[in-house]
Amino acid sequence: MTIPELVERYEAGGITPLGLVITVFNQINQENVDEVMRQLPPWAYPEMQRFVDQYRPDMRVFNARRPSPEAVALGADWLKRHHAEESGRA
Amino acid sequence: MGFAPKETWAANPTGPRQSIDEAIQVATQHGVQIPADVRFRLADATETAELQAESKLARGSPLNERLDGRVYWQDLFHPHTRQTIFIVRPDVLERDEAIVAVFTHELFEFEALRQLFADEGGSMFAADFNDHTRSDLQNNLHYQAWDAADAAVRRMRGQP
Repeated sequence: MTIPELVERYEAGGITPLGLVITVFNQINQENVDEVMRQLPPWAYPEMQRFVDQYRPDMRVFNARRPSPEAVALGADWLKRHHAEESGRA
Repeated sequence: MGFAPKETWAANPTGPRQSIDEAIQVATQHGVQIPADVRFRLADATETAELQAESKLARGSPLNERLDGRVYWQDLFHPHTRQTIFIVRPDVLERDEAIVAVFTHELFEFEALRQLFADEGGSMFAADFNDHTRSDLQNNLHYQAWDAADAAVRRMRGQP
């Protein structure tokens, strides 16, 4: 499922914010992180950050695959850079 | 391999159901009560593969353990629709008895969890949630939910 399709599913009520966040993290890798993250709507970034803040490699995730530490680290780094860019513009 | 239903689900003489809406209709016709804050949808290909790998026919919305070691009821819900979402494997739609059993199973667990979360103020320890829902623990909620599903299938057949 592409990121726009996933966002569309969220907007139609077919997936929760946490479901979207976990699905996105499970798609992220070194090659696609920028492309994936840039396709997300702005409201998704705080949700992604909340998950990053809660994340531990051994935390329990129910009803979904737990994202890898590598994927979460890539997402966290992207969010940090994005925040710095946005702050620089302000 | 965890605990599973004891009843074998009969094939439909008229073939599979064609949509989740049709499945919902079958379930409700056979006495399954779907609360207003619950939505069922079909799993997509990726989700279906995950469900197959986990030997599951359906599952609820994701939950993650927070830093306090707890999972939160509110995380199960969409903020706009106020509904939680269950995804169902497409092959469940091949048999009406499977539809009734799977919907009954999921809703039995959900309603019992609703009460448990409410009793604890909206959250519970992730370890407790795991014990309630894991498939290899006799007499837990997951196990009882299959008993409820078996009973629903027998009622559907007109059996005691």
